[in-house]
Amino acid sequence: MNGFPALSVENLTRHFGSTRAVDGVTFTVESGRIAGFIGPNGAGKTTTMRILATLEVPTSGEAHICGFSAVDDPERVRQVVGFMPDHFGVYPYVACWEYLDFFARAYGLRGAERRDAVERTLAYTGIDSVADKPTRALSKGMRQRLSLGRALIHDPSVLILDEPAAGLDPRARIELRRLIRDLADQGKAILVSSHILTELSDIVDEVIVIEQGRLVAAGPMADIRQQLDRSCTIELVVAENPEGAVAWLQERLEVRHVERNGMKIQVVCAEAEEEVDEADVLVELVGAGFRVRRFGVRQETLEDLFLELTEGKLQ
Amino acid sequence: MTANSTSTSASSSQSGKLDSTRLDDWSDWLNPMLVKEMRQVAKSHVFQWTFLLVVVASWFLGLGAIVVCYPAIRYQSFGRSLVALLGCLMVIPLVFLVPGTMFRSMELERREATFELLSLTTLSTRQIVRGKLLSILAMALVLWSVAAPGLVFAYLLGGIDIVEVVSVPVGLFFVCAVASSVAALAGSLARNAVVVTIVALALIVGLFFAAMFCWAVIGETIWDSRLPAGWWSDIGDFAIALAVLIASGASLCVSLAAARWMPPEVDRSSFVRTRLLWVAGAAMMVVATLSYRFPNEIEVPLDLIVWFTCGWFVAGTLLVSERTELSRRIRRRLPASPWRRILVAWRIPGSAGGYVFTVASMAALSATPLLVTWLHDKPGPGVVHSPAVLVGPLLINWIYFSTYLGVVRLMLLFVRRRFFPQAGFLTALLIALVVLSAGTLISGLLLIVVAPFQPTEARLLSLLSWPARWVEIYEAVSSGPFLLTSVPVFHDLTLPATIALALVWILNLPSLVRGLFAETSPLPQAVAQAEEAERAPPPTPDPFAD
Repeated sequence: MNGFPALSVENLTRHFGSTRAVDGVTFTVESGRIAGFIGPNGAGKTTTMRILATLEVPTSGEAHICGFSAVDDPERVRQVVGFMPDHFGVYPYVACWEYLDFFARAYGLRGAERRDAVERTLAYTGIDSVADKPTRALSKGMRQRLSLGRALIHDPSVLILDEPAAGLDPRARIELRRLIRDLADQGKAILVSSHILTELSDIVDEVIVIEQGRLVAAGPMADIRQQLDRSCTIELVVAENPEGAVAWLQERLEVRHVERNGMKIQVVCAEAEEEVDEADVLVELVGAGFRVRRFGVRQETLEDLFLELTEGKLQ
Repeated sequence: MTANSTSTSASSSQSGKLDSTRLDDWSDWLNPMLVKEMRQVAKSHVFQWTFLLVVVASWFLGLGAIVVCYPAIRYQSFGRSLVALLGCLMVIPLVFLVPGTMFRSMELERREATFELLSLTTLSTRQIVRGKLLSILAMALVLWSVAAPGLVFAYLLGGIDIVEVVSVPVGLFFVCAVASSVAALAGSLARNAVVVTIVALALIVGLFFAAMFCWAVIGETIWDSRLPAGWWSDIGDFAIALAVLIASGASLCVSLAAARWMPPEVDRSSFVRTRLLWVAGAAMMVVATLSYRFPNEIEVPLDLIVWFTCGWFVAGTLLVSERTELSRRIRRRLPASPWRRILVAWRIPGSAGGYVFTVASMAALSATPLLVTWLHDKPGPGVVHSPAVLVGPLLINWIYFSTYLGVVRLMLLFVRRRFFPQAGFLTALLIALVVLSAGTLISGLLLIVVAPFQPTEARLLSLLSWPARWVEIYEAVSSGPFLLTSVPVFHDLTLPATIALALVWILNLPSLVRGLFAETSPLPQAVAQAEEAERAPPPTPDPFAD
């Protein structure tokens, strides 16, 4: 790399008439890292990604890929970025290898280098078995692979993936996740957006959350969690007397909210996760005579973070 | 024996692979879009069926000619009829199907969202559209190659010379290229289903007329009669000039199609302006050849200037409808020095640069007929053709042109500011029509009412009408010797017209200055440093280092 971060966005703004699709967003992604780009519908994710892919120009602010400006130097940016949009364009009569061959030519690869790139991409994305099939005959999963192959054909340093797992079956999703992780291990910086947060949480190194075009949070999940005033959520199932257990817990802990569904109790405490010793609570609860069948502190997921950070406002 | 045959087959397969690899390597020199489109076209059902039908029809025509004319074929020449029939047959695929395929190819690219994928690559939109057009023309060539044996057979039947035989495929190929360029532009206009349907219908009607024209020309020149001897020396230069004009018009269509596909943030007007200059140059070639051919017909250059002004006014409307605010990507490429800005004002994208370009080029292009007439100036009794007589009409025409276009620009800016910020070319065209109609109709109507009572005021009212000036000029031309004093350069209305132009310019000036002297957006420091480092010479190696 040339000393610049693989992907950096500084005070990025994009207006469409009176609508501010992106409003002063700033973040960076280093090489070999996977950043999950999340936000509600209409939050400005796709617009930001399109700016990074040089398909749009920002109203103000800067976007750089490997130090090249997406505003001033789109030609060079296109050589180092691979973008996989949320739709798949089909040339119906073209075979898969011809499709990749065309994009290799379009990226300026020539002769043996081009043929190698096509063969390598076919093998890497696992579509070599259908290389001669026309693209119209491919399944959704195969098309997504081909689309990823198209984004990879020129061996870019930065990959931008917009909803890559949308519409895929579980097996295809797992395989795609594996591919993305492998690409990051090769040193590529990856910015990936998805609505399926459970999918993302397994692979991302950091998250970037935006809402209504504004950056809400950016960084590793643990850092974001620390920045937030995190409360501890205890989940337990008792064999009898759930009312008594709730009353005991309210006495023992500083409870913010309780939710009871039959014998199942969920208690949201005012204290942070680190401040609550769940083992002590369990021992004392059992000591007080309550028959506890299941007990645990709920692990916070990306979905929880997302719900806490965003308000679900649309623009 | 077995080992031998195995090695032979292995070596032949190896040489086959080598050949295909070499062919593949050669294809690297071609436009990638052309390679892809050719692969796609070769597999499409439309092409396969058209190919088959042309083969069958060519056989049918050849054999049919022999069967129908059998006894007479030994002593009569039927070549002319057969070439005409083949030409008429080929009009259908070349003037209907091939441009139709071009339209569909362009329209599908947007509908299937594949165009966005192409925009991600290092291909420019011009390369994309050009590649598509080339593949379509290659398809036309393949179709002609099928009919070629039929043409050879027709030539052997006699009655037609080789120039005429060749002129049919060449002429039809030219029409096919022009129609496909127009279809490319039509395909790029398609944004939604309604527009696609309207544009497609308009294109079908246009292609139908083009086909009728081709059939009529083939009927007139090949079937009915042969071209008169010496036709080439009579009208050859004019034919070439006209062909160049049509070809540059087609090239403009392709450029406009490419510009249509570009995002508005990039400079999409510079190359359109260059193509417009090509068209203007070609049009002036036509003016020059005709002025040369008919030195005493002063109406000829005047007619052409009128037609050319109409076309240039539409082009000007297109250019002034460009955005007023320049994007950052464009502003960062503008020269920093104000003097350089003034020097390249005509090239600066945007509405202001568009206006300057159109007005300046109109002035420059109006000088061409002057130059031609000056070169052919033959003073003497009865000769009315002199550069001096053209100065007046051309000057007054330029004043009206600049004023009307300036008014269109002002009105468009007003509409954008007050009502419709996204107003583009179609709105500008509508405004131009309103301005032209107002200038002609309103003044005409007022003249009818006022003229009987107030002749002086009526004369001033007619100032609005640009077409009225042309009527005056033509009247002056037809009424006898056309002298400098009779042209409206010293006309009593020229001064008010010039004042009107000055007023329009003053009103346009603030937005023109804003557009032409827009602040350049500075390069980000990191990028500037990186570019500086790239430009710096590599460090000299230390000769004493290990």
